[in-house]
Amino acid sequence: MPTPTAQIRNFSIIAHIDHGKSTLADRLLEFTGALSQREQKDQFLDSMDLERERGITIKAATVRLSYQAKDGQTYELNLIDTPGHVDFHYEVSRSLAACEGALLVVDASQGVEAQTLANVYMATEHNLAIVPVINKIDLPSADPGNAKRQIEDVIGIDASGAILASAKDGRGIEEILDAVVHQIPPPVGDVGKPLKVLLLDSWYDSYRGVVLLVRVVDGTLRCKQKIRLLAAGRDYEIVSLGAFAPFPKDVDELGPGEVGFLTASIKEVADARVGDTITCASKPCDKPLPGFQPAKPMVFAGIFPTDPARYEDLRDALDKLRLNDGSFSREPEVSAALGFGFRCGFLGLLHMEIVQERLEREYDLDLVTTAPTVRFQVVRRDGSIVELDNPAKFPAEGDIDRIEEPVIGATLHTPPEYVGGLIKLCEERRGTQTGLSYAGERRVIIRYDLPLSEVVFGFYDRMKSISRGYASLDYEPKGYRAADLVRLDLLVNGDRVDSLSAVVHRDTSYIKGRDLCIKMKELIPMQQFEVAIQAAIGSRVIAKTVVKALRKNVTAKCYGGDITRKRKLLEKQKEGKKRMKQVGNVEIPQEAFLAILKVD
Amino acid sequence: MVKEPRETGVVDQARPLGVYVHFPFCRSRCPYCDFAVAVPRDIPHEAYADAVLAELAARAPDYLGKNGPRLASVYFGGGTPGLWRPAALGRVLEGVRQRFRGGPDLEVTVEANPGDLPLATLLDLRRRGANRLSFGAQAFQDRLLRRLGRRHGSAAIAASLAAARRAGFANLCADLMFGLPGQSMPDWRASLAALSDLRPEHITAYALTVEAGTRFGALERAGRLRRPGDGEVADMYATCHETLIAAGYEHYEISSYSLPGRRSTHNSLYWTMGTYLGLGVSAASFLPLAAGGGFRRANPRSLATYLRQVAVGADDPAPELAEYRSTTQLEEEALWLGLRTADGVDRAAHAESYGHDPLALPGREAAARVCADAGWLDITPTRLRLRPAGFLFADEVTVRLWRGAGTDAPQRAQRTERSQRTK
Repeated sequence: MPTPTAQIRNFSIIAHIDHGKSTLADRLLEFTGALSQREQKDQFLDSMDLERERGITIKAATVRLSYQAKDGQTYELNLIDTPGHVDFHYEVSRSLAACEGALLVVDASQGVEAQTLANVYMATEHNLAIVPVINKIDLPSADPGNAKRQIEDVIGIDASGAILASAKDGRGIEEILDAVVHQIPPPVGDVGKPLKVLLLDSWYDSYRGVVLLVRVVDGTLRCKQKIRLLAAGRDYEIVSLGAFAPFPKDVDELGPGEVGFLTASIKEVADARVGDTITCASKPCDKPLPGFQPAKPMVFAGIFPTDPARYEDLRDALDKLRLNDGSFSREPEVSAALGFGFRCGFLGLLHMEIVQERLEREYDLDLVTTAPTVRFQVVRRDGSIVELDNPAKFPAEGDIDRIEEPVIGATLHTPPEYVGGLIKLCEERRGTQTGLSYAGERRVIIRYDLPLSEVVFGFYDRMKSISRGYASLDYEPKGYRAADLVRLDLLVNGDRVDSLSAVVHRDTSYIKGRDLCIKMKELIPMQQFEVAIQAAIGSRVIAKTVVKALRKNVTAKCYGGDITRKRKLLEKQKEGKKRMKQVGNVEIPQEAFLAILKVD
Repeated sequence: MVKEPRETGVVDQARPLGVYVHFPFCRSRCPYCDFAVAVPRDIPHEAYADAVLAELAARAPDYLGKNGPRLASVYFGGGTPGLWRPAALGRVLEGVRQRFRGGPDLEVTVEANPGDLPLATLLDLRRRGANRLSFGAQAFQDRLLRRLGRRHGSAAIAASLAAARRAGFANLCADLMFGLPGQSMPDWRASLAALSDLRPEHITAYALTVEAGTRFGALERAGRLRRPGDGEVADMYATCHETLIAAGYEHYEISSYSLPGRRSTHNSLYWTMGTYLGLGVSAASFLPLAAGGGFRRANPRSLATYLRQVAVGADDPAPELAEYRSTTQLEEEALWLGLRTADGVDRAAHAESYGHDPLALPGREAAARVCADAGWLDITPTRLRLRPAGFLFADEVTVRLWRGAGTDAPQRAQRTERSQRTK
């Protein structure tokens, strides 16, 4: 029997990166008996190696806790973890849509930090009940009174009832669980209505195939049931149903408000898009849950193996990765300079870095990634329109009537003191203001229409540094807008290297061309001949520089005692060479293909 | 830790053997030197000889095999082995000759500093079996010698060579350095001319390498070591080649020149994958096995550690470095070291030793082609050989060959794509 909704609570944890979110989650698991101490490893919820290393959550994770409250009732508490980066803001919004409340964890000695604020903004947008928790009260420097004041002043919620806790020594853990039960409302759902389930996340498991993480809204999920994914428009039969407690445990049914997983012989993660609505195939619900967005890559880049013989390995690796990550796209690409590879689409730059890192690490590939770009619409003089995500493929300048670029509507939430700096940033990034309003005394909402290309490359980091981390960013696509864009080419010894071209705004093209040449000179090592580097727009060269010829590369003395040591030095050189891509007869290091990102 | 193979295999007896003896003592430390060297008030002449002989007794069996390989060379390097009392040095040489079978052409070299050895000492060394001397001349300008921390003046070089000849040494070597702080091209030309006029059988001319752990290294880090740049050093290298060739010397290895027939037997072992047993502080050894593969090791760099371990006497000193190199790994080393020599790599002999032509591995042919196009490498049906101009890029060529793959990238990708479509 599924748990009645009155005994279910779905919540997430909002915390600054080192304010103890993971430790607190581990402590909650331990207190409710979900995890014995022996089973604990640090940060149970961050399962991918990469996530642990970077300290960010890429995939949503969830765990079911069974808690007997002081009123004698046993509650099912679902802790839903959310990704923490703007590239995944859509996934974050879906995770939050599955919760009714959130724990706001603030460090007792450090007070409210920027990241916390940005996440609280998001949670309140989703109407979640916020339960303030002051953590780390065991520290000598703890000042809970000040932390409470900050919560009230900066965030603007009542903190008089904030729970004082220490995830380290276990103080306050029971109070937190009680507050989850009493301060967070139970989910609203109707077991009698047609089945309606929110798809929170999906991933590929080598034993189970594609696994869907779901939150039931109405109706009941049962094993062997025939289900339909509404947006995907496909039917499947449920093979297994379960919950994470925290290890996967099979269950027969999931009722309204419950969170769990299902498998249904789905082949690729791409077939199960986060935010989709799952319903019963025979008796579907009348309309899907709001907020679904099809997977839409925002930035595109070429990925090539440094060793062309490994093209097929790269193809296989991308196919495997796609099983697990439905949000990137890939199609074959041929570059005159780099040979055969793939044009891949990503949600954002972090997503791109993660995919590249996983390819290199998990599949042992050496890759060259070209500078990412957005997808432009080029209107030719004859009126025809082409969509291009690769600067190399742009028509000749004379054939172009105009270039249109994708625009997004951005919403920034920030404390008032950073408004000036953020507006300046948006203006520099060619933005058009569409709104500016106060939401309470401590929070300003700034709205701008911005070219997507100005947002995906470095905007988020700049925004964070200007607002000292306090501002948050959300955005949605807003179509295309004509802009005065030009293709900036890079010539190496007189030949255009297609994979080094970039599309830039005409106003900044000269500065970018010059800076790019300087950067390339730093990055390209000396070769056996002089290497001329030129930046050009059309047939006009706008900047040039020269990498002098290598005059020598030799170990002067090489006698017996030194053989091993000298060999190791050469092996280091060899590793460096592996990360070079031969373009014509010039060796270009991987970083050089991303140099355009470094000039700003 | 890898132990030498008392059970795992036997030495490849077909290769000639060299024995290197390191003498780790100097009168002063030069600011560019990063060898294992101590500067004690009293050199323990006999104690150190005893230690080396003890190590020899412990380790010689691995290098003997059944019949014993042919002993081609004994080399006393350092440090300053010219400071070793001839009697002590002679005891060690005698010990080596008793264990290994040497022919009449056995080369016995002792390194020395100009001005250190009076005629009587030279005669003593000659009588005890040394037949080759190698002098660290370095430069013929006193200001440069002072900068290098050398104790001799330029006049001592000619005097020492003359004294060595009088003592009966018919095979002499002298070292020169270029790319030195404060050294100009005219300085370098003058040194080359002065030395070649003295007609030593062998000249080693090498560019200064600034090592991190030396005084020069510290100065460089502080930005206070002004020395010729890569371009100038390359020009000095070319000048050296032209001058010494014109003077009748053969340029047979990157830094080595000799009169015809007077190449260094000992150093050649290093470049041709010969066997060598290194004794003493920091000495390195290479033991190729008859079955393929081989061991490289190096003794501790600390004198105290070395003496303590040898004094225990039960076994060899624990090596500071010990590694087994597979046939595949040795093949890469053979290619690298072979290319350092003017003879280059003999393709047939290489195939005999390693089972394939040096260009038969994936990507090697293409990489070699790039190096040939750059004017560095000659590819003939029988040999791979650096051109004199290519010597300056020996590491570049090596690394490219090791890495394989390269310029034929797009064509190869096209083939892949086509074969895929036909699938």
